[in-house]
Amino acid sequence: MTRIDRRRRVLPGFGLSLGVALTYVAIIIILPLIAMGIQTTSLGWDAFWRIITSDRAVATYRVTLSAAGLATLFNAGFGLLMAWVLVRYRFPGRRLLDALVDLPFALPTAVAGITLVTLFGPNGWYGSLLEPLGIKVAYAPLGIAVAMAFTSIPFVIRTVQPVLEDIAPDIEEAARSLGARPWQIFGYVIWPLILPAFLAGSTLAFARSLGEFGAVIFIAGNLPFQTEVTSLLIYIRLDEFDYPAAAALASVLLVAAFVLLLVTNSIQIWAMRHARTD
Amino acid sequence: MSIRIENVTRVFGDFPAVRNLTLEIEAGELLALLGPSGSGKTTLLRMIAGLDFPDSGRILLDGEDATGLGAGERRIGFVFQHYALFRHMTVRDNVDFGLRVMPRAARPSRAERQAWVMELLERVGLAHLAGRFPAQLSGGQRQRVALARALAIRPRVLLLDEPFGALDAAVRKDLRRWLRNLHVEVPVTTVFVTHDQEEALDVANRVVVMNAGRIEQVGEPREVDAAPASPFMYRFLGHANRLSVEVVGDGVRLGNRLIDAARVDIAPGVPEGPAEAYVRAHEVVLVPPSDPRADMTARLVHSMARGGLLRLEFVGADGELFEAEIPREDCEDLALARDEIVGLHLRRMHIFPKGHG
Repeated sequence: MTRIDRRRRVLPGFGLSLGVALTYVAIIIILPLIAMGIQTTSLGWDAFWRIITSDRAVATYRVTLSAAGLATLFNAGFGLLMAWVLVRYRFPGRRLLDALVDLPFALPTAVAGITLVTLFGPNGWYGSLLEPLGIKVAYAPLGIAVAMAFTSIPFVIRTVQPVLEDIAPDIEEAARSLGARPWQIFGYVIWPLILPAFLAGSTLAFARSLGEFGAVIFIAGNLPFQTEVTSLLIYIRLDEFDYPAAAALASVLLVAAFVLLLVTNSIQIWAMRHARTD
Repeated sequence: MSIRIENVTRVFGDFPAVRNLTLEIEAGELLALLGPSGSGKTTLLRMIAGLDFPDSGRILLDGEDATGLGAGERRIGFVFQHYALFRHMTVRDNVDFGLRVMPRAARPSRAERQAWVMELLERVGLAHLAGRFPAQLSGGQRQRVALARALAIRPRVLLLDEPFGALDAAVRKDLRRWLRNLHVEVPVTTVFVTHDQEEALDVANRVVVMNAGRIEQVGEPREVDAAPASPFMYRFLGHANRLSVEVVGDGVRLGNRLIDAARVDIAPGVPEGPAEAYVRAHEVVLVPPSDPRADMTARLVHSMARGGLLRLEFVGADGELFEAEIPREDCEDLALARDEIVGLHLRRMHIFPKGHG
């Protein structure tokens, strides 16, 4: 008599594939994080605290946070508009535009940085127009925000777009037949439905901006206390072979990333509250 | 409220969905728009609602031209096939929506709104689920929420697009009865679209059958079922057999048998010569093949018992399929077996011009 394995799954090799996946996660994500933790602990608490609260480090947090905040605000508004246009309108070139949205993901960030410097430099197309007005972008904090905005455009668009596509036309028609005016349809029906995706996308864009390095260093000017971002300071410490200090600063970014991840997931859970079927 | 649809045409691209259609709906009616898919019934319903607009023609509500009015200005309750509930709102908030979006001057107070919403939920039997989200309800419950939501604005007309289409048979039957009763309690003019003739005949006071953007027949359910007016109607109502005959005087010739006028009703304008006869399944009587009443003979290929009726399928001499529906007890003394040859007596034949429709 043969025994029938009731736990058989549709795909064979479940144990093997799970093992490979977990090993991969361990090697690529968990081990490096542990190594960083060890590097950091070799400092001792006082030294760690001194490094991450030094004036220069705090200045980089301020620059990074404010630039990332500005970039995120811009992308939130623009991304929402873009998602709306891509979903709601049919126009020639829509598919091309849709494909272009992913370009900042595909493009090496260094290329983006160099391109932006050429455009916003004093002799560039934009720079030559903006500098006479007293707006300095390249080698200024604003330039950092521009670089961050460029690399994080897709997040808001790509999270809002599918949710917007999912809203069936009859939902809006129902609201219309019940007497809702266009702004009420948006405010009471569409906005609450896309809000969770919008917040999640914005948070992801912010997280990405916090860590942006390649595009930023070309345009930032990198003056300590003025246009130096945290990831650049980490690089500088590394360059000086001061691994523990680099690891200490990196752990600050890491914690920030974890907090943002937590926020994103909380938003998703909150958003799904009406999808419970119990 | 009465509705008058005047010479309305609606074309999508080069597909005419509704063609020059005129229809009067009286106040308080419970009317069914019945037809196969693509017959234009939903398009017509959407134009009454103001969710779509005619390319030409007029729509009058209570005698006033409403052709250009948007959906929000018509105060018409619309129930969608897939409910179209707001999934991020509770049942209570869904029903309240139409009141909440009213202009401040016309909007009832919060307490009044709450009382009215609960009254409606009571009426649809869902008061105990007021705090749930749509995802937590069954299909039938969702549809009743959609109805309560449409009724909340005290609509002048209630429109339902295939309201029971997405529900299973038992729930559908319940909701049908429920809608009939509701219309007695709340006698608001109601129009519903369906492709299910049984549903239309069961629920409506009056049935409008549509085909290819036009009205094929209008009448009370009993009338429509008893006297289909065209070959399309016979095919659409189903269980009808088509035969080739020849009109001779006021009778017809079927094969080499002459059938006199008593059993034949010939549509106006059918010329002498080849024509089409429709015989409904229940107008067929089984007789022994040699019986003088046998108009034709056929071989039994399939039988199905359904309640007190027996549905039989035969193959005729030319290989054509023939359907009969007879009371069960009539069959027991015939004791039929598969592949048996029987005689068919046609109690009534409805004659239409050849090749029409």
